This record gives sequence, C-alpha cells and structure tokens, in this order.
Amino acid sequence: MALNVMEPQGALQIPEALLAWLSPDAEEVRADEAEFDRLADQWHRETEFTSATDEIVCHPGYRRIIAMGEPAVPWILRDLRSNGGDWFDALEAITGESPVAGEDVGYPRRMKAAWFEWGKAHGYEA
Amino acid sequence: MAFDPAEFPNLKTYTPTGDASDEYNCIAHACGHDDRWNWPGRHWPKGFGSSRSVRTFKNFLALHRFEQCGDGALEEGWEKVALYATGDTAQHAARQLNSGEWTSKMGHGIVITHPDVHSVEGPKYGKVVMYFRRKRTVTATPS
Repeated sequence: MALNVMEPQGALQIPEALLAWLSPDAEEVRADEAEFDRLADQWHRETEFTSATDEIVCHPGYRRIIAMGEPAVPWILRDLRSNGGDWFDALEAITGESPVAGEDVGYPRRMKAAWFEWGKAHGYEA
Repeated sequence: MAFDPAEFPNLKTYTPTGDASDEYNCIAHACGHDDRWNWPGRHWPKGFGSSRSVRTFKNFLALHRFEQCGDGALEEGWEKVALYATGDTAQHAARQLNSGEWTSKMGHGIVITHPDVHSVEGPKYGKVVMYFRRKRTVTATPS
C-alpha cells in the first residue's frame, strides 16, 4: 500500500523533521516569512513617529523586504491590512505596477484600497 | 503600537487626543486635514519637488494661507503652526489650539495635545525653526 505522507492514516505520525525534509521549499518559505515579520516589525517601530516618506521607504529593513521580491507581496498586503503603513513604494518596486490613480496618491485609504483590489485581481489573499 | 514618550525626552506633559493612524500625518493635521499624507512624494503640490527644506515647507504652508510670524504666542483670531527641523530639514509641524496648547500628529502614531510647543523638540523632530499664522475661520480646523 502506498503511503500518503501528507495525510497520515490512523495513529501513524510523520516526524516533523521528515516532513521538512520532504518539503524543503515550504520550510524555506516559512523562514523567509518569519524574516519578513521581523523586518516589518522593526520598520514599524523605527519609523512610527516620522512623517518623512523618504525616511520611511529608505529604512534598511524596508529595502531588504523589497529585495525579497515577489514572495513578499502577499506578506506585505497582509501587513498593510493589519498594521497599515507606507508599503506603497515597496509594492510598486516589486511588482512594477502602479494601480493607484494619480489623483489618489497621498490619500492612504484610497491607495490601500487600490492595492487590495490589485491583490485580489492577481490572486493574493490579504 | 503603544506611544512611548521616552522617544521624546522633553515631553513631560501631554494628553492623547487621537488614535494612531497611517492615513494622515503631522503637516496634514497642522493644515486641518485627516485624510491625506502631505509630504514630498505623496500628497504634495506639483512643482514643489522633493526637497524637505524649511523654505519648501514655508511655501507649502503659504498655499494653506499661513504666513510667517514671529512666535507661538496665542493671538486672538489667529491659528498658528510651528515648523520643526533639524538644520534645514523639515521634520514635524504642530498646530496651536484655541486654548493656546498645541496638537501634534506623531507620524503614523497617535495625536497628542501638549501645553508647550517645545516639548516635542529633541533628536527626532529637531527644534522649532519657524512659526506661521492664518486667520481663524468659522469652519476651521477641528481641534
């Protein structure tokens, strides 16, 4: 009988290490997401009291998140929904897209709505 | 994120008056708006460029009918704004309330009222470098 390691039957328990070995990509993604969370938290804390968009988007953690590329997009959209913040430059830099209408630039509520709509159209859950 | 006054060593007395929000910032709050982020690269007049110089912010405030004045003393019929900078780099703006106290939107953080205009001076916002005033109107700025 073939063993389905993703759906253990009965009392059969697959050791976590074996599962990680069987799906190394998933483990790597989890590590990257944890790194994203750490950098995003640091960015929120260290830019909380500034109005200066240039300082906010030049923060080292923010730049490292941009360097993560496309895998960071769903995490950014999630953080934008739960914690807010000026993620707009990062989303533009990573995706090469500008879904915010010109007249809405500078109105964060509208900018967020445009990016959530874009995320939905591109299959990202936020 | 909880407001940590330790970030502002001169802030001895303050009252939180508004929730943290990423939908408006200090300069928008100073001009009476709570739906926009006024800064170069965001909601900013065309042709003003990306400079954060005191002169640029002076021009921005002039668009909102603020003229430069000498100090932050309470004047009947006038609404005042204090501009903070480190060197020539604008960092923050606070608006005077009818009571003579000052209201500050702290970046993405909360809104506070502080009795002394100088109490948010320090490493983050620098010092008050210029004061402005405009005539108060009936529809004016929310306190």
